[in-house]
Amino acid sequence: MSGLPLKYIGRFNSFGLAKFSSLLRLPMQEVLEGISSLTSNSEYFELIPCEMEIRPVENRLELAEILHKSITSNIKLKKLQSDQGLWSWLAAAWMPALFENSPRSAKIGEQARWILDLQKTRYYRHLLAGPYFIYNHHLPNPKKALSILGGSAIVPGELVGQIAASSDIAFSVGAEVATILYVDPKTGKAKKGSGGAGPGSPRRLTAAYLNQIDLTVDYRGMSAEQVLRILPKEFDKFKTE
Amino acid sequence: MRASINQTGRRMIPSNELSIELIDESNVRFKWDFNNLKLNQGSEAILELTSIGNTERISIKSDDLSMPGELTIPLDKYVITKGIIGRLKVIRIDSDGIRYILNESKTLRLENDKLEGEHGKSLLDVYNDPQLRVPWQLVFDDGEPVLKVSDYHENAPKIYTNTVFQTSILPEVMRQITFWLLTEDPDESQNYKVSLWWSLVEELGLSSEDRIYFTGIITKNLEVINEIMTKCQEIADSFAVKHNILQKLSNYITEEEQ
Repeated sequence: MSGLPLKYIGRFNSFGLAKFSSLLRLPMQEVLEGISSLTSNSEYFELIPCEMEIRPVENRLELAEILHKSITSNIKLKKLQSDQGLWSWLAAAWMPALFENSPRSAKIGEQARWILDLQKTRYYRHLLAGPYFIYNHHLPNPKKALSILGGSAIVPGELVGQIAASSDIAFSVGAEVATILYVDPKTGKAKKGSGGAGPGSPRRLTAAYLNQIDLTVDYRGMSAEQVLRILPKEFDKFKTE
Repeated sequence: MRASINQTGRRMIPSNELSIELIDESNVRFKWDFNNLKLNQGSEAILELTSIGNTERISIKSDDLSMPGELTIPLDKYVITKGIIGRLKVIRIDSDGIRYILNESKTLRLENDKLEGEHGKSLLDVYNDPQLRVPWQLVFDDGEPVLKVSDYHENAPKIYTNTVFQTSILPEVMRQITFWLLTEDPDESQNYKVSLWWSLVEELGLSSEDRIYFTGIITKNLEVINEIMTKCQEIADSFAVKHNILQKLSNYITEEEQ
């Protein structure tokens, strides 16, 4: 699939959202076959003039860059940054591109990946709004949050799941700490061993360390280097790799 | 008298001494009137505001906090202004750069969140926790019960719609909340929901004598704990009877069979 330049994007109405929700319950092949009829039938959405190129992307960072460029340059879209109909239509429109050249493990998965759910514990799972919110927050240097922006757009991975699930960490210096620990600066991809649950893992960083010291230390006001200095020894192996 | 220093050594700032409220859709007002907050020269006060997609840290001068005052905070950077929560921390910075929390407030919620509607204001908030490895768990965050559910059991995320799941767990939830009330005696002045829970438990059969008796015993031995557990089960049973739990379950199963 080459790039698909759009002159407009859509915002699902309640009828469109219901149709999308029903479609997502079908087997993956049927979803992929039926999605274009949903994003092209104007009964299901409101049209918003906007230029955006839909194309396969390398990672969540690249996807967030494209979304950010289009949304922040459009006054109407800026006001709809939390709109469920907008994000759900965008996810439907991007679906074929996200699945192109995707890992074998790529799947439709839960509805929250495609239909934005604004619950605090679910919104970050949306495949488009999740990286967009993180990118937007970490500007002007979103690469500091590569731990949660570096994964595949369709299969974000364990590292993203662990760090993004804790918004106190994802939207603070915690994301940068995780990037320094778990992302290979040469490849921009997760280091080997960063997906487990053992000593020094992202799961330990969030649940066993940062969320614990948050009770007594204002780590979000410290620099990444200062936080790294106070981490227990179990994280040393990721500091040096 | 209730302790104002918790187990981590932080001094809690009473919730009636500070607040956040929406002025309009673009601004939040932070108000304070501290009775006994001591700020040294080396300390720093930080107000953290958090909502979906944003976290903002606002440094407030110590001198400003010594007198009652207010601060208007623009929300133009916020992706979503619904459900903003806040936390005030007083920090001491060590020579090695570590920022220790000396005092902190409980979670501040918008007092007049016109954008929020009813979301998050129910007596028992329910959250989906992807890290939970059991179908559900009752926790006590910010001095109030919160029900966490997970994808671990297929029906758990359907708490609002699945009759079997609802009817199976709600009496047990009620039992655990009653146990928490009677053993922890949470501070009603810190969270209005605690008063509502007490009212509900009393409506379900807890007498004021029982409440005074159980909460008045500081060191609860096994015998007292057993008495409390028996009382909690009675309350849970009353709840189940009042809400026709068995009838609902029976009707549901009959309908499913047809």
